[in-house]
Amino acid sequence: MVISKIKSFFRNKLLRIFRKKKHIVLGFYGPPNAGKSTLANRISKDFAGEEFTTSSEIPHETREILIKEKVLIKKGNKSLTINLVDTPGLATKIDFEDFVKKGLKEKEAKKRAREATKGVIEAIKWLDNVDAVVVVLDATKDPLDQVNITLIGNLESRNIPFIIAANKIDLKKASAHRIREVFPDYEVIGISAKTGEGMNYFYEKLIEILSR
Amino acid sequence: MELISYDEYKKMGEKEIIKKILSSKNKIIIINKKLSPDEEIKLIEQAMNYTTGKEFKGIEIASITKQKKSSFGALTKIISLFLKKEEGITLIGNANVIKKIKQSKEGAILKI
Repeated sequence: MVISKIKSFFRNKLLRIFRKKKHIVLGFYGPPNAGKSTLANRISKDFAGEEFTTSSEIPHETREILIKEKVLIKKGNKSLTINLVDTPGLATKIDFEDFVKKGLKEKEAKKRAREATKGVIEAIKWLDNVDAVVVVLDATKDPLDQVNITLIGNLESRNIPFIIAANKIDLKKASAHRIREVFPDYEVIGISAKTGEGMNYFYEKLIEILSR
Repeated sequence: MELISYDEYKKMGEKEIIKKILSSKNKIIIINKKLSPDEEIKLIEQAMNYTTGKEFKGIEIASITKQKKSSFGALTKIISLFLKKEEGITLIGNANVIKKIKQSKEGAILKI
């Protein structure tokens, strides 16, 4: 385990030195319906003037990788050019009946389920391509979930820098504190991608982490 | 429930484990080690390859570690990196039967 961690550390460091990459590839990862697309769109709109992905109340709205390239993020006298990568929500199971409950017809729900499973596989494979990640968690839900634990564990073992966005703090049941308790070793920032609450501090911290 | 040793799990691979879970709706596999995050994500990826959304919805998985308490704190962690593998188990079940494996600081609860 120690040897594989050392190998991974040097591989990532060397790749970053020798790879002539102009833009940082920033992935948005997390469970379905946490607000990844809403957050990616907010950043895109704030700095590039337009949205690039869609969001919905129905889980697994994003079922393929979507990229917005060359977004110049500025905060104070610091700036970075990044490629925003919106990913499908990670899940260990997908039930088409969940989509039927949200109003989709059975045929449409089954199609969505098939696309969602492919989306999860694609999101997992894309971990090989990102330079940094925003882990988007729904602050109204229990964060102690295997998907969240596995995701964060993978980011750590691959030495991918990340920040945890505790999203939906505009809602009454939200608690960024609960997420900090479960993941005390990491930067957790409470935001509302929908209303913009907390986004100034989020941008400061994001640039800080991406500049390291 | 079927108890599988970690060595057996490594020999079988993720694909065979998922096929085992598919073979019986009520199958719960217990591996006698906490899987690494890389192993967990490969299992999830493999499960998605077989997920249809109806006949097979995927898996529920939980890796549970028994935390060893020690007055030497950081030193214990450093030593444990070089010595014995981390204690713990991994539960994997068919999501068609297990609604949720809920994690808690004390362990795990299976909701069927």
